[in-house]
Amino acid sequence: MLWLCILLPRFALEATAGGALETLALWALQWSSKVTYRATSDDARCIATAQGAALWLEIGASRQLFGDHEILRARIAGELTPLGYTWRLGIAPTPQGATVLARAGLDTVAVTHAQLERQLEPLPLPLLSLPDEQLAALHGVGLRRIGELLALPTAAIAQRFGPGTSLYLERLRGAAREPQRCVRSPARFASRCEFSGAITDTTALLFPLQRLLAGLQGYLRSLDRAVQRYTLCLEHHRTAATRLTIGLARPGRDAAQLLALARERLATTALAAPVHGLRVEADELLQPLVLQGDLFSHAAQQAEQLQQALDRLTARLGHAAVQSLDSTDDHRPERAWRLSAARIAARIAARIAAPAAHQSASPVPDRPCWLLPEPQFIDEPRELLAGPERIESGWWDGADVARDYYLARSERGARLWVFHDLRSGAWCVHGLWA
Amino acid sequence: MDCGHEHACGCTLGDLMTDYAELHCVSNFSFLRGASHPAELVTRAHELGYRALALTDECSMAGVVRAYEAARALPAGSRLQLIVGAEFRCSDGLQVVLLAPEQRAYAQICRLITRARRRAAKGRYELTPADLDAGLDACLALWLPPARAALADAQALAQALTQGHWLRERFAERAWLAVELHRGAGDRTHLARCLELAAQCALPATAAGDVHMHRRSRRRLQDLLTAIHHGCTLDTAGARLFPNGERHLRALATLARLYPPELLAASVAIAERCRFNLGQLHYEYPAELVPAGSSSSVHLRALTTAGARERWPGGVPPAVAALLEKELRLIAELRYEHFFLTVHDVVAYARARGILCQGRGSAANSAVCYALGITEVDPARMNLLFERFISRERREPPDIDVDFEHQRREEVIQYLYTKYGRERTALAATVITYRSRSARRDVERALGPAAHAELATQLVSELRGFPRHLSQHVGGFVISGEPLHELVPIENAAMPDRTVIQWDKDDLDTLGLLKVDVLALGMLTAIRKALELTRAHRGWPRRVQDIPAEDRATYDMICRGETVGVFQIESRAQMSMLPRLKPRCFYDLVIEVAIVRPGPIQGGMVHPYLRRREDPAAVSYPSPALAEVLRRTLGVPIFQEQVMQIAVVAANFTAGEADQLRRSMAAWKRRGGLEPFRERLLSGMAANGYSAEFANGVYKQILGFGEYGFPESHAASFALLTYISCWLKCHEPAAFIAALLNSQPMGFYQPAQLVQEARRNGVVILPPDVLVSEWDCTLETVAGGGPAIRIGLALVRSLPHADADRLIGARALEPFQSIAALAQRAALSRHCMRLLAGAGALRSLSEHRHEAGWLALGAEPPPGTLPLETATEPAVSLPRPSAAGEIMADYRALSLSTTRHPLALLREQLRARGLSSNLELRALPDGSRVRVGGLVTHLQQPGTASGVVFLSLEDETGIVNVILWPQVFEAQRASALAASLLVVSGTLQNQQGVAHVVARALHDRSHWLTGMSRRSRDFR
Repeated sequence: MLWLCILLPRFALEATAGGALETLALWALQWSSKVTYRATSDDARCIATAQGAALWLEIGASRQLFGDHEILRARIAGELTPLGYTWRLGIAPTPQGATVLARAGLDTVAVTHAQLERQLEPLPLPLLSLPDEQLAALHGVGLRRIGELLALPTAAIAQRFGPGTSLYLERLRGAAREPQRCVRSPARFASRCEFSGAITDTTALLFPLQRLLAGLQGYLRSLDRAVQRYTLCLEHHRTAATRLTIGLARPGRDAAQLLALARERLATTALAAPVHGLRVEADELLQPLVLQGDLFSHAAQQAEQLQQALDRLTARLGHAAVQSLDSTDDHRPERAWRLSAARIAARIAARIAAPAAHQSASPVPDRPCWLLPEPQFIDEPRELLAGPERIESGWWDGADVARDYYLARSERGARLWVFHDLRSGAWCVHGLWA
Repeated sequence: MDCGHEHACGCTLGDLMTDYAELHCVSNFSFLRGASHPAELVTRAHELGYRALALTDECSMAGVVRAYEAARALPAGSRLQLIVGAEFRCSDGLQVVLLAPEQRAYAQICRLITRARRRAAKGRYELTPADLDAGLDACLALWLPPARAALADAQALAQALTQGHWLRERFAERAWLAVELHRGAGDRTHLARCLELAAQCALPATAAGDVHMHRRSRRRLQDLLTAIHHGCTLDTAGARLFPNGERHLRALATLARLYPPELLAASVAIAERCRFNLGQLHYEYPAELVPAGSSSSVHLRALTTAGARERWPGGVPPAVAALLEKELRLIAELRYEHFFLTVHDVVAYARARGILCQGRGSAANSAVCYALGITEVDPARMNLLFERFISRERREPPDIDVDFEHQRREEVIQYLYTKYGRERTALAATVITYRSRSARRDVERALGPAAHAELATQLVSELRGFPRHLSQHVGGFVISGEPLHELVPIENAAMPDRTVIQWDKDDLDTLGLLKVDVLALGMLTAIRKALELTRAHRGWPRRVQDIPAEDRATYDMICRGETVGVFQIESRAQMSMLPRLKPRCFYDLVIEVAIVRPGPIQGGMVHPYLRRREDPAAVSYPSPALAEVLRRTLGVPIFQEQVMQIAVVAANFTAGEADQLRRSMAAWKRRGGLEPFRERLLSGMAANGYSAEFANGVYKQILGFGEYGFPESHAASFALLTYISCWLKCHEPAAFIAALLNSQPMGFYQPAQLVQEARRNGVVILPPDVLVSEWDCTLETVAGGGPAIRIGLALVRSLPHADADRLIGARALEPFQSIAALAQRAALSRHCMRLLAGAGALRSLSEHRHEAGWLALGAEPPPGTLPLETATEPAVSLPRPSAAGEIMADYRALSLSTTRHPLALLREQLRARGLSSNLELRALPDGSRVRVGGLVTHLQQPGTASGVVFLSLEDETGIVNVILWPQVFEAQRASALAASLLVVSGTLQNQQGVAHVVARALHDRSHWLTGMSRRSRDFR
């Protein structure tokens, strides 16, 4: 057995969550029938994935097919580079050994166990897949190199660090076998990646798509198959995914060709919404994606409907044209209400969802139902029926008022809401009573 | 039409016909509600011609003493009467104001506040109507009916009626309905409804104002406080703000237009029933300190005589006897016996428990206090110069602070609580006020992100100085003969089981209440521990009193500036001044303790003093009269007492006025009020022919004293500790440094520097060792007889005390033969064993630290592993740690090096780069360009020194001080702040044995340290 480790140091940051490691595993099937990776840390030993991600290929058996491991290594490297990964390779008779060599970044290959031990010996301990506190403990007793650790009796190590650690060291040097869960070729190809941010420009989709299609190509190669059409799903945040079926004139599996077709198609596609994820499926029997079921309560659904209605209204009439009338908590009459456009639906929805919570805590003072858009200067009123109500507020936002409000009667008998500005001494009418 | 804004003159014709007493007014001691200081309210009410002002803070008496002080300061003939009361909001919504017509009512309100606050968390209170059921029969009650809108609602009205009847039943003729009109929309309707409600409940009505500020101009601040209170921005505060600024003290004419005359008259009638003022409070000293059949005076005399006999076994010198007699007579005259007895009792308790303590303060340095053992400042030996013992003019309690060992002060506090009971003992409060930074933070939060910078700045300056909450005083205990809550409300402090009264120390001063300051001082702990070590190790000195006075070698050491770790004169500024100041006697130390402080520096007094010290010909006095005052400080006023004397001698102040000046000095930052003194001082001194320059200098110094000034009486007590600690450091460096290590955390220096200093003094440092180390550091004698410090297990980082105790206990039974046996017999976890191994404490049981670590790891197998028979485990061979590795491991586990200084290992490398050691610097000429390197031990930016930053670099030969001018610091801030090993190039200042480097460039070389023992984790 000879294992090649593909170490992707920054991979975790890039895309593990989006499932790209699976894609890469499918891609790797073209080189080896035994491909394994660890994406989750259910195995206590696989610290590797915490620092990055790793993929292991058994290449001993592939040697007849691809020639010497050096040649294979060069080919794999040659294909990885255009895909834009940061990678390091290591080749050793054990997967853990290959990982350590990959981490060390040495350009050597260990074919036999003896070669592996010799190469491990001078390497620093932190290259091992051991928990930090164990590394610190080992450092504390003066151990610096892997060779120094391997020289210690296994039982003494187990005694101090537990059987897991000693087992790991045995697997590292091949004294114990490591069970492998290998990736199987699925019957259908489905691979996706997720973006940390939203993509709004279709050209920006091409690079991640290239990786997915490389996976498809590797997969098809490993099975010696081709496709005549594949589906490209652009995943959006809330709305259903945009599905594009890319057809080929005749069956093929060349990633570059598959990409070229997709590029043309994307160029003419207007994105309905920002794209958060990308999926490639090679399966003619796929069902359309089912929309979200009625998981919400009736009120939420109502709010949702309202939201959609408002969305449509806004889309047609423009954003500024759809506004709601709202009371606000402010002593200044002209600020005690407002038209608001922003996120009205959210507020309305909130009110539908929790009607009781929205009631104003403070009683509304006596106010006329018609407020002039701007107070209008008048002469001092002859007859004041009630008042004053003094309002002094708003110094913090540049609209400071200091006014005494009165109920006044106009000469024609109309009931006016007037104020006397305490600073300028001016009189203004501000509202009309019914 | 009246616009309601006050007229400039304050009074109008209408005012003369109106009479009003404001009965409902909150100050800024209703935190985040009131927007004026109590004094502002009092002064304004007086200006407006109010008959009375009731300060009715919400469930609080915290502001009343300040109001009382302000009312006392009103011009003679003011008719303003200050009423004491409080506002309460019950859990069911009932709101009342209780007023105190007589002292009994005051005590009842205090008790109610205490009850409501003691059952709630710090800063809150809880009150139910049931609390008002009984115990308030002397109080007057103003009912604050529900808000106007609520009265329009039938259900709420019914509830209000019930409340009204309920109050009427309880308070009968002593209850009123308060009508509060603020030019709201329905003032007229509201007035009518209130009167109707009052009639239905058979309660009379009165006018009240719900005052929150003294002037309308505080409206902005009041709005702001409301927003801060609710944790919202002003934009979103909405109806939580008041609609207008009417809740201020309004002109009488304005009130006359708003309220019917009979309501205004009712307020005055209520005020006339109130005859209580805070001056009537009299305070009972605890009686139990005087034995039955004796009097306090006789008892104090007896204790003093007995103490004097002990102090002077050969007979009390006649001068001291006369002084004692004079002091005792004065104490008797002013009736302060109980105060001295109380302090004596606390000190006697501490002494009996072996807790070191020392009194300080003007009264502490009296012959009586020396005889009573309150202080060690011997009046006969030290040429007592203190004028200010207690003055007859002032009726305020004498000032004694007692410092106790910081680690054992709690025992003393518990003694006080036990002896006098929690009812009669409480801590004084400290009023936490807004500082610039906290004010800015809250203002910016309330204004929101779009705030106008100028507006924010204005508000910050208005808010600064506002009280924010009450906290506990560092150690000022009030002890009373009667339950305290009759005198002042008590509330919970943040610390569990601590209670504070609602007054701070100035309030107590104002009312003449006794306060004993029980303070904590780390140096006392260290001195006690050092003496324990010398006693155990060599048998002498055993007590503080054994330490010889005026020891020449000690002063020589001080003059060399070798004062790391000693009391007070250990800071860089102090140390660098010592070789110039050359203290040769105790009084020099007194000056030294006081002089390098912001007060004297701001007053420009330090350098004149230094100049005169260096050149006696420069000593001159402004006048022969002042020569008497200033001779002991070479003509430069340094102490608070001298400033007071100058005011008397040069500016014709009376002793009483000078004392007011002293008190104002302490408080001017908080309250202002120094201006009138400035006028008097400058004009008085000018009249007596003193130069304006000198007069201004004195005034500037007074300003400096406000924050940091040192009275001579305190300096003397501190200087004594300075002398004792210096003597110990000089003659018993091992005991002294070990004691400092055992008293951590305290002081200016870290254990690493203390150990380094010990080494420089020829003390051998022995590493921690499980076979010999105790918890604390101990003394040993090394071969050749030299002293040595054995590092204690306490310094092993993270090692639990209980584990160390088990180890020591197991060792006492039988010495450990192996690491496995140690782990097993002391039941130590693997974690503990690793800590011990990492600290090198297993060295006697293993070949080296690495092997110890390996064995420690095996001490307790991880879960899931069968324990191996350790005997059968094959020996492993691990690399021996390098010298650098040992040092780094020491630093990691102990924060100090038991072998060499890390820089010693780098010395060759440093020399190759042209760096001088700190020792070599002393031999280089002044002005040389130098490069120095060392561990950064301190980085300090003293507030007053114009942005200059001081930095200390330590290498294996000593410490060098680096001066960073502001532009250098700013340019290389990152290096200065982050580096642990710094290389500095600059210019050497080498004058009078003091070497500084003025930095030109800084280079962070911390990686040289890590490079000594590299951990390569960054491979991945």
